[in-house]
Amino acid sequence: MRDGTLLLLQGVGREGHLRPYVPDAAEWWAWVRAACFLIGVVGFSAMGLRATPKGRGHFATKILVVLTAMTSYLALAFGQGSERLGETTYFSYARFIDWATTTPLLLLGLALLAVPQARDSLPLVLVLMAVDLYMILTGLFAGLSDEGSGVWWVWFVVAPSRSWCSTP
Amino acid sequence: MIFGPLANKASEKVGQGDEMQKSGDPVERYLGALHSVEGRWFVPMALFLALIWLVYPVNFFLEEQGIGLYTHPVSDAVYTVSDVVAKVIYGFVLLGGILAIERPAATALGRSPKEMSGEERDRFEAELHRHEGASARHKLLPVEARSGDGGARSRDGSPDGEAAAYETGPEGVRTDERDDAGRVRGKQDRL
Repeated sequence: MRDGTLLLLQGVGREGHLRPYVPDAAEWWAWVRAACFLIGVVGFSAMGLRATPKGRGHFATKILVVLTAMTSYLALAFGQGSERLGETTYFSYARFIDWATTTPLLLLGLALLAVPQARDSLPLVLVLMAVDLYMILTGLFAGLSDEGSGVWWVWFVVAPSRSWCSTP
Repeated sequence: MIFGPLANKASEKVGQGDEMQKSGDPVERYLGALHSVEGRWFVPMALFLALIWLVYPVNFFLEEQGIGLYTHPVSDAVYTVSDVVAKVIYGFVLLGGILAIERPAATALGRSPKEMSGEERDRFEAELHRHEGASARHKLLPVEARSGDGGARSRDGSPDGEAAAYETGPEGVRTDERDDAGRVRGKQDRL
């Protein structure tokens, strides 16, 4: 019985598990990435011990970023968080969940460098994060569309152009 | 509409920071040092991130979901390199910078906040908080001084030794009055 629980348990083991749609090369890259992000988590945490209270916010956001990315790639390495779309096409939605969380946090960290007081520039910082989310979501729509189709092209053009128009 | 105003804010922050570093108040100088270096970091870091993020749409366009110039392992390899650069390397650069900023700031203060402990640190943090509030909402300061963190400061007790280094300054008139009050109260507590 291939119910969800069984699939999940079988997906976790290294041998004899059900991973019919994830190629080994992609999995291997996911492991490399998860390992790199683990280095980030450990490194940032170690550096964070030397931070003053004023700098701790930067460390907290960066640790959350690499932790989220590591989790997403760990899932991909286990053959989870990815969907087969076509003959050779795979769509990794775990990556979009990762990007939707991490990129606004990276932009928040960047905006905190620029503004003297975050609360004074809150609308600007929130709009920056919202535009970024918009780009990730439209990218997700493009990823879910048939490759090379008209719909795909519309989303591909809409996603970055809308963001580029509002960011400069 | 976003990057421009943020870059303007960053250059304003540098200007403010440079001004604050001329102050006689050590906490003001500390914040000034932080502000001017952080402001200078914004444009290079934003360009770094923007350049790395350009790889994603290009890869998305070229991979199997786009025009199909290359397929799975290659696109994954590109995403791996750009992800690690955009998050881990970028993070190490930015956080290394944040740690490095502390050094000139500690010099401006006369003492590193990391060496402080207990009451001394609490007092420094309260002072820092008040200064940040002051730079953002200076019109509200007289009200805050009476009702806000003034109460917290009075519980701090008397500063001694090096702790006094950032307590007083020729320009911090309002601060000095409150410091004196706090110190007198602190001494009474001890007696």
